Amino acid sequence: MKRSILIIFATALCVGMGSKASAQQGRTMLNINYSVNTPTGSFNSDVISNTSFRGWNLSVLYGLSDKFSIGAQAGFNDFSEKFPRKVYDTKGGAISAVLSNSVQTIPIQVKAKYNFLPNAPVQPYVAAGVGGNIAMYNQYLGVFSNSGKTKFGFAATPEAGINIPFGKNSASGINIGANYNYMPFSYQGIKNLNNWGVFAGIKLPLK
Amino acid sequence: MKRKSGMILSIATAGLSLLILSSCTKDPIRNLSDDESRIYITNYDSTAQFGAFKTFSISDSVAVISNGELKEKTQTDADAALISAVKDNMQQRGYQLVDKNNNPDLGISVNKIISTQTGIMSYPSYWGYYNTYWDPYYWGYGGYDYYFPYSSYAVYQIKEGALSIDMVDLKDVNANKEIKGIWNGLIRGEAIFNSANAASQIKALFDQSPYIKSVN
Repeated sequence: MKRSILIIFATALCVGMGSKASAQQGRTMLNINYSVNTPTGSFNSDVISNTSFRGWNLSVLYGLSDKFSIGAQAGFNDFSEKFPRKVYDTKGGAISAVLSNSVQTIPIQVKAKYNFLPNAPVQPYVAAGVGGNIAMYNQYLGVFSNSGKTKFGFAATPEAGINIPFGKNSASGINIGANYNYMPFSYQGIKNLNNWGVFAGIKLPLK
Repeated sequence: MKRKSGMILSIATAGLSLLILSSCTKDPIRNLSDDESRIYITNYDSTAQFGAFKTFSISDSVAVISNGELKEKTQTDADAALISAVKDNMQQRGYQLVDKNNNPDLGISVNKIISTQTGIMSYPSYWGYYNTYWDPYYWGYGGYDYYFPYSSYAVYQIKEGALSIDMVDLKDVNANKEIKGIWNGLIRGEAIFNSANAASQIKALFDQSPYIKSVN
């Protein structure tokens, strides 16, 4: 898998190398980030509290002007937690089990981004994505599947961060930022899969 | 032209990346130990007065039920360990072990359920054929039939192996010639037929069933 990601990065780099100018207008940029996400609210207290270190997001944005760009983004986060053995009461009896919860979220959104200082060495920005979310929830008692649900829901993702170009005239650079994923998900008492994330990655011009 | 190829490349890159990224899911149950893999399910008849029973008897062999049919009754070391563990726990709860010919209040059987078919065997069907595994005659009640009031609660389906410990009320067999099941302990997971795990497995079933206690 690592090799496949390297190939993607290499492909993206090759495409990006030819471009030098930093102006964003008329340019299509690819952003790929590694992301660490932490459940919040009832997702944290009722389903999974563990921080996920298996997360990614990527976006393709077209510059309408040097400051403003629009496009699409997609992401993936894998959350899981194993709870120690406990006896759970059931109707007419009890079950003793190690319980595991597993959640995957795949938001697919339209995105808008505003870059405050497009020519600065460090460029702060704000962005927001709105769209859908493929969310998968599975619960296991021991090795046995207890319940599971895949739903397509809503997702909104406000974001803030900085871009640091590789050089004064380079369109490529580093991304560092944080976002909040608002993800309603109603199933068996679960209300949402809201989480916040920090991410870092690279930004490359596609043409 | 250049613009178009760039667009196609970006879409292809995004698609390919998504595919790879979503394969990063960690299998939540892959790293469970054998002990963690096991689940213990108990069902009981809430109307039963467990304190009113004084004596019990337990089968001397384990019934092996494959795809809903009794295949054999076995007495392996693992079977003996299971039967012995049930005896120990019952005695600790104040019940007296007697021979099955001495009118025990409770009858207990141990059953190994194996499903080799690709389909799923549901629990109600396990109880539905109970008299073919343990003829009521075994307990001295020829011509009677079993009745399990909690079978509808046993929604867990059996896909491979399971151990089922069943307790029936022989004290209150009624005019309808029914022998009522009052408690069931079910064990599923890895290494459940291993004799080294017998004592801890049976203890887990009793630990979550504190109401099984004689007032002897």
